Amino acid sequence: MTSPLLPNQFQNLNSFVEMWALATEQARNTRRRSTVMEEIQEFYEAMLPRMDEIIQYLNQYPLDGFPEDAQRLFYLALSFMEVSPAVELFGEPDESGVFDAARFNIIEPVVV
Amino acid sequence: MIKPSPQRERWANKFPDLGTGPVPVEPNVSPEYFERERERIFKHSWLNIGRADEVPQAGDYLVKDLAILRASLIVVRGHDGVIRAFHNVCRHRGNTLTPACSGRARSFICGFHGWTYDLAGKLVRVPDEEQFFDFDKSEYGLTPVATEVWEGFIFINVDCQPAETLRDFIGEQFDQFSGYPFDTMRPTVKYSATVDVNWKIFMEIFQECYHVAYIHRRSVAEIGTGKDNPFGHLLSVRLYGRHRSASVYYNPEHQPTAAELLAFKYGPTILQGTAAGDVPPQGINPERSPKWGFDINVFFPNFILDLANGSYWTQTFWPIAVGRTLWEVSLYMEPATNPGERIGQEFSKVLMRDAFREDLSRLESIQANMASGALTQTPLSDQEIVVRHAYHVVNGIVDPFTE
Repeated sequence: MTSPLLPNQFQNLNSFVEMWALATEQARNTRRRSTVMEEIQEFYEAMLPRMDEIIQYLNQYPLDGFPEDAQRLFYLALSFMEVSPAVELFGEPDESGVFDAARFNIIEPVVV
Repeated sequence: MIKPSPQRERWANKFPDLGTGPVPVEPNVSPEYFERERERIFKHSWLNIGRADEVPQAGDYLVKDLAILRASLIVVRGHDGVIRAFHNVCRHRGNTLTPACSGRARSFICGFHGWTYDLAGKLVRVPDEEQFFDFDKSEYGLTPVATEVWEGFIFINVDCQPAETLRDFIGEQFDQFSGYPFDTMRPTVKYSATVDVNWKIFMEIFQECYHVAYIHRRSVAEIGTGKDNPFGHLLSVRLYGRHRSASVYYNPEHQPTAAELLAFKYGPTILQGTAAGDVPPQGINPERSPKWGFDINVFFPNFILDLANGSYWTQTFWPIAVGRTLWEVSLYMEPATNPGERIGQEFSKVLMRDAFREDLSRLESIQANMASGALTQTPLSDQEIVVRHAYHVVNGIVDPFTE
């Protein structure tokens, strides 16, 4: 039997794992820019009321010691921060008229 | 007679030598001017090329191809712990030793004939050495480039005999950041972009805050302006010879978003201003304003060190051509001690990145329009005193007879 996607009390967020449990800022930003606003909004609204609980749950682990289900939850929380400007500031997945994202390089650190 | 601004005396009164008239467009679009910048400025200046913690161990190296110097350089830490830079060129027949990258090496071996150099640049092996005439290996070490480290920042100078030490170059600010926790902070992300714009125009947008209320109106304008400062006037401007610093206003009463509240609850954010409680070194926010966001420190010619409480970011602007520049940003924060802090850091990174893309959005059209001949000079407000100073510093070296 494979482990559940997310820890027990967060099972109702399972449906977001495939789209948003992404390991890098580049991947999360690309997903945000290629997703319609309705889906971004849905993800944001599902996550926002759970974020305190999510962070408190994750804080029982060291950053480099998540079990698989908590690791996915951590990536979801990072994606929440990624989409937050789209919802809270721009009202669109990517702000129109800004510098081309394809020419804006994101270079991730080696560590988490 | 210059009228005082409602908030404070005009910077133009404090720095009368800079004048108040418009500045010319030509330095941003003239290929001849650009060539003189290359020869008179970049080939004789101390240039930041990275941080010492990017090469922490003996043998760690990075290679930079720098178009403005028409040179490729190797920066490497030796077994003695000293960081040195060399031209990335084999002393035999001029082959490039290693492609632009970073890594760890025990030695550098030329791919052409196998000449081998140690980490201090010494030539240690020449295959079939007996076939050379009157040959002394010690005369053929890698060509060194002057290298010095300040607060962990590596500076190089390709002048064979630099006219000044790094300490003299940095001058008054040399000790002003002493105590800032550069050593414990780590890069959380790096950004880069190659943009069709002159390097000076590129740097200017990260020095003046006149643009904040408008170009950032959808992102950070509310944080950088306030009821008492609707146009985000700089808290202070300090000129240090060729370098300059400014303190950026922060509105502690801005309405935080839900994401910002979460980030701030579980760790430091880039938007906290002075709320972190730590008192920064004297060179940072020298007026000790409670409405302080961060300091902009511009080191001539092409390095900006932005210092905030709990985070800092560096920006290096590498000219490629008169209208083309490589921009490299590194964002440093204290390492997150738990997942909540790391999630909070993501908020700061993402907001900053999105705001950067706003900053970059106008540059290419500005460059094209300046090059079109549509305008020959541009007026500058008192709030753009930093742009005015930048112009005079460069022009004083490139074209001293017009100064």
